[in-house]
Order: sequence, then C-alpha cells, then structure tokens
Amino acid sequence: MINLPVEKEAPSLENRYLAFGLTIESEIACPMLMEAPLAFNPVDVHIRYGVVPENLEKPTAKGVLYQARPNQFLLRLEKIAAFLISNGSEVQIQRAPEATDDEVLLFLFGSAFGALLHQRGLLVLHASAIDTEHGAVLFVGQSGNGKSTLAAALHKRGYRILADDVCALALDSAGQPVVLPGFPQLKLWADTAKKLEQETGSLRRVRPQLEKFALPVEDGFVNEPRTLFAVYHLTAHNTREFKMEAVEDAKKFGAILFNTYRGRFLDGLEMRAEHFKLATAAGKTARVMRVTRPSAPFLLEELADLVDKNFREA
Amino acid sequence: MAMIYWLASYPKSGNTWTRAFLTNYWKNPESPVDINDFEGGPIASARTLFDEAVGVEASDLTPEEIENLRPRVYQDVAANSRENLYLKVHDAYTYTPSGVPLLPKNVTAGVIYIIRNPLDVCVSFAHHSARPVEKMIPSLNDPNFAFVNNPRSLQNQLVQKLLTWSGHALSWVDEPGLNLMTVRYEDMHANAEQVFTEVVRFAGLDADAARVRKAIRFSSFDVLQSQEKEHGFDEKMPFSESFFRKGKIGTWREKLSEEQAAQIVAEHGEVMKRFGYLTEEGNIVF
Repeated sequence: MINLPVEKEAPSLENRYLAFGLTIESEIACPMLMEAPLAFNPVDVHIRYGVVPENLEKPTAKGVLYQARPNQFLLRLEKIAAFLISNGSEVQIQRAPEATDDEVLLFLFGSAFGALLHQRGLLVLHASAIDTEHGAVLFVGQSGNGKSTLAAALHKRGYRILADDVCALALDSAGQPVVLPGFPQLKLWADTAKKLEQETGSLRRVRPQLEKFALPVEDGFVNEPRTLFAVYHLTAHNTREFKMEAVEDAKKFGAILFNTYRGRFLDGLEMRAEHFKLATAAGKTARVMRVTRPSAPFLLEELADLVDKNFREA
Repeated sequence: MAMIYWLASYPKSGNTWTRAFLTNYWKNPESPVDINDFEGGPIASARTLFDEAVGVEASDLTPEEIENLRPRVYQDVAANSRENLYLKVHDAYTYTPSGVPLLPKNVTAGVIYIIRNPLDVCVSFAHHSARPVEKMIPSLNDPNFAFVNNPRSLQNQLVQKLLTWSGHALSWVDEPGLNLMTVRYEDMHANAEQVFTEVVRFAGLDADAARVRKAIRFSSFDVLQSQEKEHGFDEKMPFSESFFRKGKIGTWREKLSEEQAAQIVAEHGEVMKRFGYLTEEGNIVF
C-alpha cells in the first residue's frame, strides 16, 4: 500500500462522509454515503468544484472519455461533468450546467472513485459484496451476469451488503486481504426489482432517463472491513443447468485479475505492479468458485439458493 | 494503429460461417477450430468492448449517449491494436444522433457484407429466436426493428438497429466511401472455393488454394453442427434448440405459406431483384 500524505485541517463537519474506509469531505452533498461520526477524523479525500483541464499533460494512457498518468486521472462526460482525480486524495469536479446532482454522483462514485481507489493502491474489483459468517463473499463477472442482482437477492434473505459495483480490498495489519465497506446502496434494473418484489415507485432513478434504480440499504450494511472469504465468478450460458466448479491455483488469481474494476485505468496510472501483488494475496486466501447459470430465464432464487448453500456449507 | 474489417450481415445470413472459415484459414490447424473460439468476436455491439474502451459503463448511459460514443469505441479499439481486426457486426450502417457513422470510415479497412435470401433468413431467424415465422415477418419489415432493445434490463450486448431487411442491405452496400465486398450465402454454398478465395484476398491475406479447401472443409456445416451437438455453442439463443439448424437453401419452401412468402416479396422485391433473389418476372430464385 502506498502511504499518502494526509492533510490536517480544522474539522468542518458538514458534508463529511465515510466510504471505502476513507473520510471524505465534499462540496457536493452525497446523500447515499454514510455520514462521518462527529469525532475528529483526518480527511482522506477532498471533493471540490473547480476548473478541470481539457487534457492531462503527457497522459500515458487514454480511453474514449478518460486520460491517465501516474497519480492523475481525467474523466470528461459531456453535458454531465469533468472529473480530475489526483494522488488518491483529491477530486476536482467541473459540472455542466444541465447536469443533475444524481448524474454527477453516479459517475463520481463510479469510474471517478474507482480511479481514486486505484491511485491509493487498493485492489479495486468490479464486484458486489455481502457479509457472511465466514467473511466477505464477492460476486464478480461481466455486466449483465447478475452481480448486483444476486447481492440484492441475498440481502433480501438477511445478508448485509458490503459493496455494489465498485469493491475495494486492502491488506490488514496481518497481511490478510479485507474487503472495505463501500456505501449503502444497490443499483437495480426495473426487471430485477420486479423479480425481488421491490416496488420502484418510491426509489430514485440513477438517472431520470434510465429504468435503473438506487435502493438504499442503510439497515443492512456493514460499515467495517471484513476478511475476504470467497469470490463467486458469475457467468451465464445458453444451457439449461446450473454449474458450480471450484477454481484452483493460478486460475483463482486470473479470476480476480480479470474482474478488476476498469482494468485499463491501471496502465495509465502505472499501478499494475501494486495491483498484481494484491490480487495474488487475494487469490491465495480466497475460495474461488465459478458459477454458470442458464442465461434465460434468469432463475434468481435458484441461483441464490445454490450460492447461499455453497458458502454456508464451506 | 490497426484497421478493422467488418464482417457485416443481417442476422442468420452466414456471418458465423464466414468467421468459422476465416479462423480456420488463419490458424491453419490440424483439426477444426473449436466453434466457441472463432475470430471476429466479440461482436461489435458487445457491452464489454464498449465499457472497457470508454471508461464508464454503458449501463449508466442513455441510448443516445451510447450511440454517440460508439464510433469512438471503434477508433479506440483500432488505436490499441497492433494487428488489423475482424469484427462481426449486425448493426445496419447508420449515423449517430450527432450525425457521424456509427462505424467510422477512418478505421475501416473493408466490409465483407454477407447477404442471404430473405425468405430463408426469415425461417432461420424465427428458429433462432424461438418465434413463429408469422411473427418474424413483421420484424423483417419493421424500419425500427432493433436487436437487444429492452430498456428495463441489462443485456450483454448494446442495442443494434437492424432496420428492415432491405434497409439493412442498402445501408451497407449503398454507403459511399466504403471498401465493400458483397457475398451471397447461396454462392458460398454453390461455389465455396471461388467465393472464399475472393474473401481471403479481400481480407488482405494471401490466398493458398490447398489452405482454402481445408478451411472450407473444417468450417462445413456438418462440422459446425456436430461440434454444437457435442459441447454447445455460446452464441445460441437461450430458448432456441440449436444455432446450426439446417444451413440449407430454399427451406422457406417447406416452412412458409404462399401468402407469407408473398408478404416478404411484396416488401423486399426490389432489393431481392438487385441481389438475384427475384427474377424480373417475379419468380423467386433459390
């Protein structure tokens, strides 16, 4: 892990939040985050409004909407906002006049924060995570394979949520991989909400134009790090049967690396080596299972039964 | 910086067959390449391709934003590849809301446009989608027909505008400034060696007669079908029985009523004539 300088400032307790084990001070209100307790805590991350440059100087990697170089990351979304993320501790936002707060927050706590967590040398995975008696259980896999959906189904059965979509891991003082709590929210598509019998009338859409809803889960959220126990790699296939197989040895490590959150960011940030080290540690200790479900219909309860039983009997 | 060859077609027109052939040609293996390991993938509309290149997820974007960003995805993909790429695509050749081609010309090396008799396409597409043929005909005739178009759920592909069957063909073949070769599915059957040799040359590869013959053999319908029977094919639709159904020409004669065939001809007669699927006298060829 990289030790980043921590700024010591007089505490102003407005808009102070906790997410991913970090204390965040933000000029933009972040209603989906946990508020920081009133005790003094050094601020790890500052989120401010300001002017964001068009380009980075000498970026070492570029994608369609982003540029990266060591310790700097730029994301520009037309008609929403531009984000400049520096040193794992600073987020500068220049918002477009027509953007809503919800839209800015969606990308702030998606790709922008993903880059920030990468900058901090955390192992950032594209995963949803729940807490179990054995420790943290992660669901990884391509978008559309059911990570959030499965986490939501298990949450409904009483499991507490640790993270959704962006999932950060670190090593604890004993060198064991732990999952850091993200923030208490699950994102659900309309069809998933329907499957879970979750009415959406009272829920906020993540963006007004999308049939995708933010479900607050304050009551069922764990706000402390949990030891990593298992990783379930979800895949969907045009078969009729479910399949569950243990992933062993080097392939475990591959399953983790392959599900890095926005893996391409790492090239520009030059954080591959750090990432590799953590992924190896996670692969060593975690039980890794590959679960294949029939792609349609999505048999959610059957999938939840299968996975639930598998980690309970572990 | 690499360039992209698009393997473009309306669904169920021979795209996978072409990919099977090309993969077997490049790899030149001792035994047929695994059907789940063909080049030309992922499909241009794959969600993962978009998410990785853009840096934010398509699932957080509106359909218009996605469409406007897609051309830049292919420019990014080409810029990050050392070798020329072959990408399967079912989208029609359309322009984005910002007014630029969805599939940019400045990274296009060429287009292999595969076309098939729309009557057979209708039968095969119906089988593929596990829908009755009478429900497929309106889709072939619908200018707003789009693949993977459910705004309430997350799918592993992005929305693809297909237009009508005729609209699809014309969008590609009449687009100015594209280096495009049209291949008829029926000719791939009748003159495999000649047609696939032309495909190889067009794709910028050296044509070797023995290798072409072997790749044709390794991508024959029987090989593809028996591999699917043995271990399944990833691209089969979940509710469909099989991806490789018959691979025959003229099965519409058994599956479509006269009225249904007439419905398709009435809508697509002009384009059918142009590609030799309908004679001037109005007789259906194949």
